[in-house]
Amino acid sequence: MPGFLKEIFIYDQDTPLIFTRFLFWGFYAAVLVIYSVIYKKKALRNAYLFLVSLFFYYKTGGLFFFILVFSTLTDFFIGLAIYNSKNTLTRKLYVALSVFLNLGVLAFFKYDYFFTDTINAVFKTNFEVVTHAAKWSNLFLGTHFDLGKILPPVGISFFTFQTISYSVDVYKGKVEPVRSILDFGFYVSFFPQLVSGPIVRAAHFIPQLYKDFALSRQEFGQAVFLILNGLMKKMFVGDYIAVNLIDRVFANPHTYTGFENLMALYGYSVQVYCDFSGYTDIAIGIALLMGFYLPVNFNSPYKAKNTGEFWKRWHISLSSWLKDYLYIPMGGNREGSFFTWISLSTILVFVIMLAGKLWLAPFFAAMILVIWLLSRLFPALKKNITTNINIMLTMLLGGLWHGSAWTFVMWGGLNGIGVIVYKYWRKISPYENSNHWAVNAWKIFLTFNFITFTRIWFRGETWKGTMDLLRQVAAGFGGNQVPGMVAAYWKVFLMMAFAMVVHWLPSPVKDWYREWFIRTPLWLKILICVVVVVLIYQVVSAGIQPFIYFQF
Amino acid sequence: MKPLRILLFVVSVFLVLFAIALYFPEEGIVLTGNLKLHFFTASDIFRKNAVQYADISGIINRNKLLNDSVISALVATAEESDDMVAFDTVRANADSLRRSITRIEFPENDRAILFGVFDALNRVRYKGGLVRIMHYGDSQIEGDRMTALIRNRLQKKFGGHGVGLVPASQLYDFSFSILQESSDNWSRYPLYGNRDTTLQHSRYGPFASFCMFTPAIREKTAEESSNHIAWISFRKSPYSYSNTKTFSQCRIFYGYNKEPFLNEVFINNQRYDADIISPSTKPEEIRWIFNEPRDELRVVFTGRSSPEIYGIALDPLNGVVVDNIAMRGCAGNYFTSIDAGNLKAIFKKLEVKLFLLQFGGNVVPHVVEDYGYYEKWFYRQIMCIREVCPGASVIVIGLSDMSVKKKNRFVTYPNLEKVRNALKNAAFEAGAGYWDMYKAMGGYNSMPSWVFAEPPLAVKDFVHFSPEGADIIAQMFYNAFLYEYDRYENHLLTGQMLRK
Repeated sequence: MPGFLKEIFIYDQDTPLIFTRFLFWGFYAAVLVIYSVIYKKKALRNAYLFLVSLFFYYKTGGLFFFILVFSTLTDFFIGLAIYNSKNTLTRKLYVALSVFLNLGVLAFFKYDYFFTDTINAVFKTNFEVVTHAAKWSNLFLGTHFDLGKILPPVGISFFTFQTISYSVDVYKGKVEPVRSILDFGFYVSFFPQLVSGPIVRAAHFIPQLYKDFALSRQEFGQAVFLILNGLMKKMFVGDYIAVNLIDRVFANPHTYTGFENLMALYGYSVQVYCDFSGYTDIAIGIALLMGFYLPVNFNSPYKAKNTGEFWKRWHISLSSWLKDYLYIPMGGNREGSFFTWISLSTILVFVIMLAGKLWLAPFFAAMILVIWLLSRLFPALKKNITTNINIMLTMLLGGLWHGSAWTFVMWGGLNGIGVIVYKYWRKISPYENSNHWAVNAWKIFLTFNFITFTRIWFRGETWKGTMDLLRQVAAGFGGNQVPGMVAAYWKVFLMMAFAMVVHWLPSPVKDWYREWFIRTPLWLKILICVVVVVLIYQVVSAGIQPFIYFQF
Repeated sequence: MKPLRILLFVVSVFLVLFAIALYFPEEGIVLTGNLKLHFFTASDIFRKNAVQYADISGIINRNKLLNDSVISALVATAEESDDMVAFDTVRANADSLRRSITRIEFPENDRAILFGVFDALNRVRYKGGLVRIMHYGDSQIEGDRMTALIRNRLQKKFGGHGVGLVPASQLYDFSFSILQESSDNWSRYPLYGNRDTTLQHSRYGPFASFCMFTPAIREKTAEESSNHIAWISFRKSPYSYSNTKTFSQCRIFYGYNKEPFLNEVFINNQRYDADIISPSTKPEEIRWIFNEPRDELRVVFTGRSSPEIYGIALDPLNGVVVDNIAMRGCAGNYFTSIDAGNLKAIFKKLEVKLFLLQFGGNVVPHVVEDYGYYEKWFYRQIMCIREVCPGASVIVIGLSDMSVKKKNRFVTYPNLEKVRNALKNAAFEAGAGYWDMYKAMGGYNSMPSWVFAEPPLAVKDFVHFSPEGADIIAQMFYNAFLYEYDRYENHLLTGQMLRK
C-alpha cells in the first residue's frame, strides 16, 4: 500500500484521530463531503456515520474496535430479546446478562491488572500480571506498551455505560429497541462522543436517528462557537498550564516546594476543567454541525456553592447516569435496597483487594451487621443511614470507575463526605438562604477549594505522590522563595487567572459575546476561526517554561 | 443550513490557513522586541516529519532484561575467556544485550582507573569495612533520584545500608529517602546561589554549604550569654528502599566552634548519649556506633554559639554507601572555590573511594560557539577532587538529552553535543572515566521519546527524568559499572588461574 494511503487508513499509535490535530479536521471535512450528498436518506446516513465512526475508532484505538463491535452486537440482540420476551424473569435475566457482559468487558480490559495483582498478593499465587489491553495491542499491532501498566481501550468506560443504559431503558420500557443493527451501531459509536463522552442516553439519542437533518443559522453559529471555545479551553489554556507546570510537579512532587505543589494543584483544577469541558464543547459542536444534539456536560462547575451542586454542574452526563442507574436503583434518598447491599459489597471487595488484606473481610462484615442492626433498632435513623450509604456508594463507585487505585477510592470518598456533610450543614446554617454576594462568594470559594483539595488524589500518580505533595505543602512550603517563583512562573499563573476570570464571568456576559459571534456574517466567522487557530499555534509553539533555579 | 454549506465553511477555513502557511516566513514575524508570531510554513506541510524522535523501545526493553547474573555471564562470554560459565539464554542474546550496555569510557582505554574502587569493593565484600561513593549532580538527581537506585543495587550486591551523608538542614524539607526535619533556627550558608558575602572563609565542606544554629557572623550582644537549642530528626521513609531505612552508625562532621556545646542523641525519645564537645579550630567528627541497626534518631545541639556543621552521615559499619549531593542549577564548578584543607580533612574522614560527577545540563541553555572554557573549568574541578581526595576514582556522568522547542516539535539543543564533548575531554584529560548518558538514553532527539513514553520516563520540561525514568537510567549506569567490575573480577580470576 502506498505510504500516504497507509498513513490515512492504517492505525498508528502516534497519530490518533483526536480533536486537537489537523488530521482530525481533515477527516471531518472528508466525512462531510459524502454526508452532504446522502444526508437526506436517513438509513444510509446512519449506516454511513456508523462506518466512519468505526474507522475513527480504529484510527484512535486500533484493533480494540472489535470490542466496540462486540458490545454493539451483544446489546443489540439483547435489547431485542428483552423487548420480545413476555416473561418478567426472562427479561430480568436478559438485562442482567447485558450488565454482566458490559461490566465484564470493562473489568477484563480496565481492571484485569488490578484483579490479578491483588489475587497474587492475597493468595500468594503467581498468575501473570499483565494488562490484556496492552498484551493484545502488542500482539496484533506490534506496539511496545508496558504490560505492567494499565492501558484500557479508548473510550471503553463510556460506550459500555451507553450500552448498559440502553438495555436498562428497553427493560423499563423507556425506549423501544432499535430494529436496525446499523442504526444501533451508530448510536453506540457516534464518533464525536465516542472517546470521552458525553455519555448519551438511548432515550435522548435514538429518536434523533429517525429525524430529518435540520440546522438553523443560529445552531450553526452555536456549533462553531462551541468548537472554537473548546479548542481555546483545551489547547490555549489547559495544555499550556499542564506542560509548563502541572505535569512536571505531579511527576516529582517531592522536588518542588509546597508553593509550587499548591499552585500546580490549583492549576490542575483549571486544566482538568478546560481540558475535559473543552473536549466536550468540541464534541457537541461537531455533532451539531451534522444535525445531532448531544447533552450538555458542564455548566460552569466552579460557580457551584456546594459539593452536591458541583456534581450537578460537572460531567453532568456521568453524574446523571450514576444517579439514574446506580443511586436511584439503590433506593436513592428513600431507602436501601438489595442493590445497595450489592454495591456496598462490591466496594468493600475492592477495598479488601486494594489493601491486599483478607482480615478486613470479617471486619467489614461486622460493620455491615452493625449498620443493619442500627437501622432495624432505630427506624427513625434508617432513612438517614441508607440515604447516606447510597450517596457514599455512588461516589465511591464513581471514583473506581475512573480507575482501580486507592487514590480514586479516596477521591470518591471525600466527595461523598462533602455531599453528606453539606446535606446536614444546610439544615443549621444561618446563611443557607442568604443571597448576599459575600455569602455566595464564600460558598463558591469554599466549594472550589474543597474540590481542588480532593483532586490531590485524582491527579496524584501514586499514593506516595499524594503524600509527598501534602508533606511539601505542610513542611516545605518555601515561603521565602515565593517572589522568585512568581517571577519565574508568571505566564502560567496569568493564564490560570485568565481562565478563572472568564469562568466566573456572569452568564449574561457570556451569552452576549456568544450571541454576537452567532450573528456575525460567515466571512467574519471564517476570519475568527483563522485567528483562533493562529493564536493557539502561538501557545503550541511557545518555548518550554524553563526549570526554575533559585538558591539550591 | 445545508451540509454542503457547512463543508464549504470548513474548507474555506482550511484554505485561508493554507494560504497563510504558504506565505508565512520560516523564521516567524517579529511583533515587538522578542515577541514573535509563528505559524506553519510551506516546508512544514510539504516536508514530512522533518523532526523524528529516537526509537528507545529496544534500549529500554533490553536493559530490563539485564540483571547482575546476566551481566556477569556477559562478561564471561566476552573476549577474555570462553571457558567460563555461560547461560545459553544469555549466549543467544548476548550480542544484543552487550550492545545495550552503554560502557563507561576511559582515557586511552585505561580501565585501571576504577581498580581502586573495585579493590575496595572486594575488601568490603569479603572482609568488611566501608566504601563511600559520593554522587554529585545537578537537579537531575535532586530528591535522591538515580542515586537511590544505584545505592540500592550496590548495597544489595556488596552489602551495606543507610542513606549516607545528609546536610543538617535542607533548603526546604523535601522528602529524601529518609524523612528529615530540623528546628527553625538552622541557617544554611551555601557557596553557590545565595552566598553570604560577609563570610571571611570558604570552609563549605562536601555539600558546598554548611549549617549553623546561630549566625555565622554576629554582633557581640547579651544574647550570646544564653544557650540556643537546635535539633535534627531522622525517620525512615515509608517509600524508600528497605536498605535505606536503617543505619548502624551516625557521624556528625563539624568544626570551628569557638565555645563548647552539648550534643545529645535520642533514640525513640530516650536519651542514648550526651557529650560536651570542646572548642575546635579544625574539622572534627562525632561518632556513634549502634549495637543494632536504627531507623530513627534525633540529635540535639545546645550551646551559646554554633559549630559549623558540614554534614551528618547515616552509614552502615560494613558495606557500600552512596551519598546524594544535588545542586539545582549548578554546572559543577564549585569544588575549587571550597577551602581545600577543610575539604581534604572531611573527605579523609569520610574515606571516599569513588566520585560520580553528573553535571553539564545547566551549561546547555547558554549557547556559545566554543565550550573550551567549560572543559577547562571542569578539568580543574576533577583535578581539585583528585588532589583533596587522593586515591579516589572519578566517573563523570554526562548530561542527558535536552530538548528545545522548534515550532511545535522538540529537538535536541544544537549545542548539546559540544557540551558533552567538553565534559568528556575534561574527564579524559583529568584521568577520569566517562559515562555517556546522552548516548545511553538514545542520543539525538531521544528526550521526547522518554517524555512521551507510557508511562512517562521524563517530565515535560524535556530535561528531567520522571521517577520511573530516573530508575531506568540509573539501572543503565549500574549495569555499565557492574560490567566493568565483573571484567575486573574476571581478570583477577584468570590471572590467578594462570599463576596456578
